[in-house]
Amino acid sequence: MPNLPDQALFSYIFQQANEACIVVSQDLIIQDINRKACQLISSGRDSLLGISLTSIECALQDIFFWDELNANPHLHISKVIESEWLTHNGTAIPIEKRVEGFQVENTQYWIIFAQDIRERNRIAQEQLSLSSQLQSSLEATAEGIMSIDQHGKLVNINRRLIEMWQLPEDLIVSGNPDAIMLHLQNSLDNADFLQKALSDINQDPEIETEITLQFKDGRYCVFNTKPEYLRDRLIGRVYSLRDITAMKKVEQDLVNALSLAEQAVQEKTFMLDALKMSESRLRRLINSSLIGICQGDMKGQLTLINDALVQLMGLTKADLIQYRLDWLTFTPIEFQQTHQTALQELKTKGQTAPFYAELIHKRGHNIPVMVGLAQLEGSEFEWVGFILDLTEQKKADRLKSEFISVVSHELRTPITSIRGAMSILEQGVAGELTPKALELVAIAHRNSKRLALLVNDILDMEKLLSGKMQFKSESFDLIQLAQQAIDTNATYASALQVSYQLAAHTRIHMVIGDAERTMQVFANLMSNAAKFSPKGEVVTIEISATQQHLRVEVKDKGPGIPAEFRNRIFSKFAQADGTNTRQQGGTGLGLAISKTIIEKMSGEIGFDSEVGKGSTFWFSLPRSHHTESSV
Amino acid sequence: MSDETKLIAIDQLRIGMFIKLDLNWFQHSFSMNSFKITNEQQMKELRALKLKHIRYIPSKSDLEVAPIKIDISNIPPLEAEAEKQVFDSIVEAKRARFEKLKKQREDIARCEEKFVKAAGVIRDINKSIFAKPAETIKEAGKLIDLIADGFVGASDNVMHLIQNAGSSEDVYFHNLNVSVLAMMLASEMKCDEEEVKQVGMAALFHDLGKTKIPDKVLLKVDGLSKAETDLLKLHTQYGVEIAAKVGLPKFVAEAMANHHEHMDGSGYPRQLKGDAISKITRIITIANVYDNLCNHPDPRQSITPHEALSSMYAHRRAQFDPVAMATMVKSLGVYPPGTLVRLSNEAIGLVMNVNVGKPLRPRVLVYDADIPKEDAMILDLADETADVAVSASIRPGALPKAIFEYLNPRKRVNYYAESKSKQAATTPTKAG
Repeated sequence: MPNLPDQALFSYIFQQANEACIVVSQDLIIQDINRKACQLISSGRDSLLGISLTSIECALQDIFFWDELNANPHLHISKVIESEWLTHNGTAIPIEKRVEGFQVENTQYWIIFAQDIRERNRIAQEQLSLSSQLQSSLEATAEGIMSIDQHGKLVNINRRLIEMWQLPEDLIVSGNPDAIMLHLQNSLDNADFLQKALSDINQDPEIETEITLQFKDGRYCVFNTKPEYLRDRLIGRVYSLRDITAMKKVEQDLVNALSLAEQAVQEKTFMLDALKMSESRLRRLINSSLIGICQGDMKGQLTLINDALVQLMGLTKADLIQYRLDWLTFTPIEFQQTHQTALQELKTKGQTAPFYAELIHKRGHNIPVMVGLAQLEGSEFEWVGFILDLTEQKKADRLKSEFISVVSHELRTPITSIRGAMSILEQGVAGELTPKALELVAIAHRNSKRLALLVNDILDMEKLLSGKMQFKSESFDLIQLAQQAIDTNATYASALQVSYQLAAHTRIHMVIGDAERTMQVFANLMSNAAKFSPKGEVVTIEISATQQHLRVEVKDKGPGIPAEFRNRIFSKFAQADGTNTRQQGGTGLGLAISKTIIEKMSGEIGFDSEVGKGSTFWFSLPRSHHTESSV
Repeated sequence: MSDETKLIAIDQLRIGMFIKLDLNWFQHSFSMNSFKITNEQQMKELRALKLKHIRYIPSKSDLEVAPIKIDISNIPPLEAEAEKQVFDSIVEAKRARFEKLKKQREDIARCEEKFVKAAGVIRDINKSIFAKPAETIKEAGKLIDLIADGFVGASDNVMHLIQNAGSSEDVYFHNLNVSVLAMMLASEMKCDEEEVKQVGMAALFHDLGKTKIPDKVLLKVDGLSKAETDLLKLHTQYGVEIAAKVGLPKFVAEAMANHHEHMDGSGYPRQLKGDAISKITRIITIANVYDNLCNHPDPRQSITPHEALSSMYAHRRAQFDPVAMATMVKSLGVYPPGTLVRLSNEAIGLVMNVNVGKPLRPRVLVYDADIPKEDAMILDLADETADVAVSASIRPGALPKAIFEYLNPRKRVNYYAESKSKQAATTPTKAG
């Protein structure tokens, strides 16, 4: 037996031990129990000594535990098992017990060391649920996560990361972060980023990094690393990987869309520039042009006019802005009709032949112009007009006609005197001339007559063109006039051995116009016909009526008008055969004068001709309505 | 479940490692997907699986196996012959396992059949006891003989969980359960056959007095009033009266009278103590309490078999015959049939039966998502190595829905007992 001080000491230690201790005999009768154990089951030591352990132990497994222990008692082996102890108030508390055997003088004892594991169980339960929660969070997250401790050991890695990095099992097994990083590097397009980040981390283990990795297979991942701390101590680093391929794609699509849009804008700008350039070129062209150009609509409203026209009309830019420009307001009353006709023609044909008109200058005087209109391509309502200033030309024309007029007048007087003198000489009033001299005088007389005729025609023409010739507007009997004309010209015709014959196919006689001028036209046409008729032929003058007009036809059986000459037959100084002029006589002004006269009287003039068979010159004059009854 | 697993190369596998195969149960020769490697044969079979890596659980392994670099070329490749042997052994193991499973299913089906049949007989007995008492008692005797023949005197008895009993005979299941359990206890307590049968007879009729109690009291699920409780308690007295009337044996009448008496005198109606209560009645009492805890009239108030037994042992031990109590624990084990358990390999299962002699190594219906419910594996822990054991009981409410539906623990826990050897002896002659 141990001596007393020892026993007291051991007893003290036993009682003060922090672990619950119970000493039982082989038949599980409690021999001793310490303070901690008593506290645990809320009973006094005295009430427990001598009773069976089974009244404290209350877990089913205890029965099997002691059975087994008794069946083969390993005295020196301590066994650990969870059990339950019944407290004084009847509740069972979970404990973990460790049982060791020992022998004192052949008596077998068991010492039971027990720990209250309520707290431990609770913590374990909490840890279990926490860690399972963490684990499931770790697995459930869309991010790949890996954590590596300070010693470079792989601590945790979730399946997502394994999938994302396509880590082969060997590598995971190796648990070698360097090898894993190398594998990652090899699958990247931008491995240098990763290398840089890793070397940064190496230099400063406490930094956080975030880079975007570009995988060779086209994926993009955000690679984030953060130091991991336990309280203040750095214990490792967490690496996370987030797949942003989809996001990147959206981003890329956006960028693409943006650049497409930019390109479109650029193209548009380019086109606009080109347009602007072409427009300005056009504008320069238009504005530098000497021709006035304007654009207008069918109502005559002008939408654009060029500098040349602005200048021509004496306008300023301010006027253009200030006023709504109407073509008609610039058109003198006498040309308004012309203008309306032109617009009408424009509507039907899409363009007009150039026509003469006048515009009103800002200062009030008229400007002679040649106008051509054409519908604007692609538009039915707009047209473009070209206006050529004829002022200078008009001035030149006037100068010319004035010159002619002056010259003619100055010629007529001496020629009249010459003709008179010649006539007297020819008649022998100034004494008998020798036949030789008489012949010369006759030539001079004949030519002076022709010269006088020419001067008259030129004067007529000049009068007509300058508008100085006055026209009457009266009713007269056209058939009667035709008969007079035949009578008047008969002498001339008979000299050419040609005769005239009148055929009136209508009972209507009266027309409106100037009888004296009409007689001039008759004389011109009839003398022409006689002139070009073969000897002995008859020139017929036929008169017929149409709804509105009377028509006069003068038919000869001459050589006809050559085709190449027909379109300039009514021009000034026109004769088919220039060389024949002298032979045929005439000034070449007759038809031009006739045309002008007839048109001034609102009539028409024209011809039909067949080479070798003859020509028919015709003119028509408007019928007089109120004189019909007189017939 | 929370145990961290590690992948290791197959060449680093060691005996003592607790491994976890990521394979279907049918793809390997082992009984479980997770287990501790204990011998070289297992190593061979594992290598034969041709896996490159194997997951293992360091915390469950015998040693923290430091990865040793081994040149794989140094490991002699399995000879073709050896490989074939291993393969054959896998096939053989599989075949054997299927056979066993088939046998286990047959056992279950047979017990269910017997149970249902017996319940039917009990229904008839209860109906005709008043009209034809003598004949009925004789019939009851025959039933008890039949049940007793299944296991009495044998040393390899098995307590089966009856999963598919139907529900039409609910009322009579209690009598049958108490009879079977009590007879089993009696048998394990080395009572002679006559005594076992007396226990059976008495158990069969112990609640006969309840026929005089109105159904509205009997079937009431929420708390009874004092008067109702008093009325219900009268069933012991009524039982005695009926026993006298129909001529039931004296030991039956005694059980009817005293099956609510407790060893510590805390029972009713007469607060008898200890030896004042017959041994037969003491056995019936403990079986009766157990069944009432597991099969409360209100299923929501039922507790699991493990909880029932634990609570009886921890808190009500004094009320029961200590031998009967100890026998009951030793027969049913820590995790009686009907208990949901977690195994040391993290598998979850339902205890289907216990070998009464080896109650800590029960047969467990194991949840495996890869195996259809109908073909669910039944693991006989008696045949497994020591590392596969039940580690804890689980409350049904704590199970994920999928597992609960797979294992389908019934609200009622019914038992039927049988001897393996006796069954083997009787089955071929169809005399059972």
